[in-house]
Amino acid sequence: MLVSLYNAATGMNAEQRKLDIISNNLANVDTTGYKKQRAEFQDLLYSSVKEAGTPTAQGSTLPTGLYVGHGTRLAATTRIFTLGNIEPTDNSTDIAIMGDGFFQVQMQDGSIAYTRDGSFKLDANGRLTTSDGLMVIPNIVIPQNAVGINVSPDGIVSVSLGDGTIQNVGNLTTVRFLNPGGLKPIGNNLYSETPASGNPTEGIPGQDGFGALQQGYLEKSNVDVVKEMVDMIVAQRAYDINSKTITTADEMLRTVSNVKR
Amino acid sequence: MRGIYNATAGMLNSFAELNSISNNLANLNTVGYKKDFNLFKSVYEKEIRSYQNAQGKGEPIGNIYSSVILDEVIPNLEQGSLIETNGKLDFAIEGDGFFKIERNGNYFYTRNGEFSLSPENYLVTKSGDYVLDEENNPIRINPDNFFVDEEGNISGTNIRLNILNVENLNKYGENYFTGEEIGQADNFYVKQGFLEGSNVDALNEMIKMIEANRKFDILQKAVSTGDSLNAKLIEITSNF
Repeated sequence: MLVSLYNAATGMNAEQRKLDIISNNLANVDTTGYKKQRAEFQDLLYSSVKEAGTPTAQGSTLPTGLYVGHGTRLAATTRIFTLGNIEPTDNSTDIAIMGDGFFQVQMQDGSIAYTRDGSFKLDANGRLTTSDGLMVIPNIVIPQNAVGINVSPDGIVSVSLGDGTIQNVGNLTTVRFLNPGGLKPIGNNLYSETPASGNPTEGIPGQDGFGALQQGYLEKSNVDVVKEMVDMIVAQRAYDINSKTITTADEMLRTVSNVKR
Repeated sequence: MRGIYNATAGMLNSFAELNSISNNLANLNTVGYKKDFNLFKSVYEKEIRSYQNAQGKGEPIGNIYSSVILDEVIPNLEQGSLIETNGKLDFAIEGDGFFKIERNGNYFYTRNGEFSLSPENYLVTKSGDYVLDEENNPIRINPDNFFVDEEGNISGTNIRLNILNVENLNKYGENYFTGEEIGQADNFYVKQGFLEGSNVDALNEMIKMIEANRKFDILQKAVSTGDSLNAKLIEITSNF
């Protein structure tokens, strides 16, 4: 009926979704390796009442037209891959990536997923896995008689055996994406590749722009609580204001119905 | 009866006013959004004169308008506030100018510098359209080492972002404008890691909204009054 009513509704809708995103960021403030998301808005198409370039009665053409806007929409959510806080854990199988890169893990269906959550565990066979038991690629197997595990910044995993010898058990590699913002989150701190993210490039940590590994540390989430709270207030107020638009449009419609008594 | 039509035209204009206010408010959080304001114009202006004097000509005593229509909706290009994001692919223009965007051979202009990377490493907007350099070519970047200085020069290359002054702007949607280029902008700073927020001032829009609402009420009273005067007239004349 009134464009304004629907404009305000699109505004409320988009602010609601923004709040959904903020609340997810805040809920994951302590999630290892979580990367915050940001809501991005676009204005909707404009319907033209008068096209620009229309000839006028004076023989010239209209330089600007008359366009009516139709509100806003949430166009995209972008993941922000800035580094989170690196915190010590004193656990030898916790590994943080100090910069660019993702660990690769093998999913149940054989596909590969990517994660920055380096809180690894050992399974009964001594294999390095994620907290959910997914195998880390390349596979690292720690021998039963190992007494200590050492991960070098460039990914070389070695163990010290009971008799004092040191044995190399494999190399951890990481992968990078041209556009990590295009990765698809699949939950459990994992991402899968998409056409937008590009293909993964594998490399040695600490070289050619790949972040070095840091054993005994974990990367916390990069959510900035103050910023999220401020965004939440902004979203709530914008929501309020759009609801006032609805009330106003409604009052005007009521006035219309009073014209004829 | 003329008064009734005048008042009705005013009521319709209040609706038009509310439409752009509501669009501004809905885009309170849209990056690079520029608020609209409405320009109304009166139509059928006519001189009115006093009754004929001895010379057969009345004295002009003023003008009368029979209606008012919405003539133009103009974007207000006031600077929006800069929001720091620290994103390598986020840009704000402080000052004049627009980024030039290409979609299938059509050019658009935008103040929304919330860019992404395409799979082929081109700098694109959120709608997937190319951001152009000064030669109107898409910009291919090195994502590891992508810095842009305040003049829009991309480090390590001799490529520069195309920042243009544009006139006769019309909104297209998706944060794009269409318009006519009038050359390179020179009074601007490109800020990497920042975004330009919407320039909608909520307080101002709310006041305009109250004004539109009240104006609407008053005009409705004018319609009712005109109507009851006519009713009275019919009542009187029907007694003869």
